[in-house]
Amino acid sequence: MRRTDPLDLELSMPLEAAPAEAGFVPGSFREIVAAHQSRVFSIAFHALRNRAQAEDVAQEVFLRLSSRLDTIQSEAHLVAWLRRVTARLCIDELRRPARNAPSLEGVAEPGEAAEPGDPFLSAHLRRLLADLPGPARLALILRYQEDLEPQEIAAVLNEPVPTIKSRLARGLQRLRDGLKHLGVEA
Amino acid sequence: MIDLERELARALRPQEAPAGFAERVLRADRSRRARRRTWLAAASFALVLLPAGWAYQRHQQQQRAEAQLRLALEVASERLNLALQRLNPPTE
Repeated sequence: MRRTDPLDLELSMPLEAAPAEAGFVPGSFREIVAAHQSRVFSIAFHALRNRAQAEDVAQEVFLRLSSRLDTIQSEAHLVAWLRRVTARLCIDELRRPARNAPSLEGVAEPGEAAEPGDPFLSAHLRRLLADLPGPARLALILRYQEDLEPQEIAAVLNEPVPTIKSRLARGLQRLRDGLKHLGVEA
Repeated sequence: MIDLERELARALRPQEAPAGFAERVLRADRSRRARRRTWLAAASFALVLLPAGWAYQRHQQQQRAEAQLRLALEVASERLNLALQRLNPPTE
């Protein structure tokens, strides 16, 4: 007998932060992939620190979206759906013991445009972030890459707001502690 | 002293998806849809074929039962005829 995927059930629940738009017609699948590939890949890449894994996750996100396009009610719903599915697939990926070892890949991007600010500091921050537990890492990524408020992160990760606030605070504190070892005060 | 939140936002700036990513997704989507269509066709075929097979089997059973009944009636009729002939032997 086929088991219902709990992720499917969870993802079919309405997203409070994503209101429906009357008469909303999503663009073609090709347009959606083109418009959101960077966002989805970035969340996965920052969470997993591995380009191949991140690409696999991002591809799976869009393949799942392809079969659910008719359930998308607005652009905000689409973005929230993409964030939620990406985050959940990353958490699943991080739980796999064999593939959970953080990779150094991407800590310093080869052939990448020069980073604004201090590239060494950015690389070190990404390395420290990679050492955080998966849920805390994702909360920080959604806060500082996607610029979401704790309430929005809570909706994406389906967790209580206080839990998210506490993860953000603990995560930031661990980053501060890590920087302190480098002699950087934050 | 650095502004940790600003530096973190810089460190987590969006990354470009790998070259050709969108094309790979579209190709994988087409392939997945083709596989799904094959399965659906097979399932639909089975759904049509199974009731048809079941109906054919029922029809065959009915035919066999009818033939057996016809044979039984013929045998009974033969025996009745024989019994009647014994009770009323033909007069010469």
